[in-house]
Amino acid sequence: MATETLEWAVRAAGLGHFALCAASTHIPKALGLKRQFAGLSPLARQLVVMQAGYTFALVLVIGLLSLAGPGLLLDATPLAACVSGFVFAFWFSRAVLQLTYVDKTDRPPGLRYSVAVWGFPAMFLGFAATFGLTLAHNIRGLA
Amino acid sequence: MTTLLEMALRGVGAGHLALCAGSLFIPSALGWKQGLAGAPTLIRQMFWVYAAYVFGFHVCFGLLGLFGTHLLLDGSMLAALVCGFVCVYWVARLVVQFAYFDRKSMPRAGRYRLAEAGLVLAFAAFAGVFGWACAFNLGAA
Repeated sequence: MATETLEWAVRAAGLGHFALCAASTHIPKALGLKRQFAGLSPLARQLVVMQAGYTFALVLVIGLLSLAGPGLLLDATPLAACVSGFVFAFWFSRAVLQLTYVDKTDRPPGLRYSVAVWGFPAMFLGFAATFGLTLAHNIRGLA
Repeated sequence: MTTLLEMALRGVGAGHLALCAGSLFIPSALGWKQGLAGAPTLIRQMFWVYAAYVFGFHVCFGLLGLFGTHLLLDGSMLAALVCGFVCVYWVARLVVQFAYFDRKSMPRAGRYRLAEAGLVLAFAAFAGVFGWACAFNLGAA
C-alpha cells in the first residue's frame, strides 16, 4: 500500500479512536455500571476506575497521534515500528477478548446494543488491521 | 550526560520489569479475589482485562527502556512523545495514589507500608527519568 494511502488510513483510524472514546462515555450508564459496582470493595472499585481511566487515556493518545502525526508512525524507524506494533497488539488482543472472553449475556435489550456488540469488535479489528499494515510498512522500510 | 541518561533509562526499564514481577503478588496480598466476589461477571471480567492491559503497558515500557534506550533518545519527535507519555502516565499514577485511593481500606502492617513507600519512590523515579528523556529529545529536535 502506498505511504500516502496508509497515512489517510491512519488518520481515519485516529478519528475512529475519538469516536470510540465518545461512545465509551455512554457505556457506564448503558450497562448500569454504578449499580453493578455496588458489590465491590472500595479499593477494587477505585482500581477498576483507575484502570479504565488509563485505558481511555491511552486510546485518546493513540487517536491524537494518529490524527496529528501519521507521518511519525510511518517513517520506517525502529521506534515507529515499536509504537505501531504496540498499537496493533493492543487492538488485536482487545478484539480477541471481546469476541471470546467478555460476557455479553447481560447486555441491555434493543437494536443499538446489538449493533454495539458487533460494532465494537469490528472497530477493534479495523484499528488492528490499520496498525498491522503500518507495522508491516515500517518493517519493510527498515529491511 | 547522554550516557548517564542511558543508564538511568536502563535502570527504570529494569525497574518496570521488577514492578511487573512484584505485581504478580498484589492480587493475593490485597485480597482482590474476595474484593471481587460479590461483583457481576461483566465487572469481574472488566477488572481482569484492564489489570492485564496495565500489566502489559508496564512490560512494554520496561522492555523499551531496557533494550531500546537508543530508540528513546534519538532526538526525534516520536521519541519525545513516547517519553512524555510515559512521564505523564507515572505522574498521574502518583496523583491517583495520594488523591484518589481509599487509604483507609489499605492494609496497615509494616511490610505493606514499606511496599507502598517503595512503589511511590519507583513511580517518582519512572516519571523523573522519562521526563528527563522527553526534555532531552525536545532539546535535540
